[in-house]
Amino acid sequence: MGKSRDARRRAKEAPTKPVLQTITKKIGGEKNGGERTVIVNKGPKWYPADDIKKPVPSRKHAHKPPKLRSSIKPGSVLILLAGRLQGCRVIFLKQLKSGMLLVTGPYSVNRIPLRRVNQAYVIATSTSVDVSAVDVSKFDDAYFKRVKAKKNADVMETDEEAAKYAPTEERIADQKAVDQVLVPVIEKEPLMTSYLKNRFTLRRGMNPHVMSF
Amino acid sequence: MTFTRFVEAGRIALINYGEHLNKLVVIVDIVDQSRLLVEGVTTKVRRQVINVKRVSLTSLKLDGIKRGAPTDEVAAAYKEADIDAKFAASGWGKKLDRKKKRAALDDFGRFKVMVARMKKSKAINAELQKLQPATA
Repeated sequence: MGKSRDARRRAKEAPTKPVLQTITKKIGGEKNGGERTVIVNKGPKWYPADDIKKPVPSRKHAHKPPKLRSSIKPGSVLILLAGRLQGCRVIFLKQLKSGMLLVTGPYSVNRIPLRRVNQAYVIATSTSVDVSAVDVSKFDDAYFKRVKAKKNADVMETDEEAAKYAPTEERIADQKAVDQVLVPVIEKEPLMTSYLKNRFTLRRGMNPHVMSF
Repeated sequence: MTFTRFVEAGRIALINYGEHLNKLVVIVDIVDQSRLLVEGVTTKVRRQVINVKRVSLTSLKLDGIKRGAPTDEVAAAYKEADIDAKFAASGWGKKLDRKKKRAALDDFGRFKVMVARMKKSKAINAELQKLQPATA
């Protein structure tokens, strides 16, 4: 049998013996020995009769990134299932710290930029592309963080130019660098380019739960 | 047209339902109007009684099999006639094979099939266009 939860916690907070800090004080008076060693911090004079329980630190908010599905490997072709790019086929590059998947179309093939997707909204296919040559060390969650648009003083008057999204120079350059490596690899495989350009849809007689991807 | 496929001893049939779906069997005996005694030689279907509705008759037949023929006789005749190869070469066998292969395809494979089919129908339509008389 294991120890109780309390016992385990007590064992964790191993009672290290407090090292008493002392200083030597000079003492006046003839018969007092001249000096005395005194504890610096004496601590409380009294102890409470009952132990006051400390609240257990909450474990609720610890971020546990989801495990990568075993069918998804770097280079896997994924089918996006939700959002604007529903049905699009993309290439998986890596999993970010937050658990989101870094994917790209690539942009020069099917106009899907480097972006993050949740793996819950994705079908993994068994098709894959060699992405070992792609450098993805630069990309993390901070890279994709949204820049908040500046609030206009006048609420009614929305600044259209500010609200419109346009990729930064940096992002354009990064996308180009990734595409440069990825596109030749994709073009090597016949039909792969048109496959990635093509959107996935369910047609008559297609039952996704019995189909293999 | 008259019927050419009969429920008879030695007739090769295909099971169209349940656990043994799409497996070839030999009709060994007829139990009554609705039930048959069948046996699969190479398909691991044990000799058993099955409802007529659950088999589809093929055009193949084993010669010299009498009603209630023992397993070894059926097996020998089946191999002698090379039934599996004959069925696989038939249109029905090819269709089943194609269905099976297509069901096992992955997403990229399905896409390739789609492209090939489009190519085929494009070629056919182009030829068809040539044959049709020009209409105003």
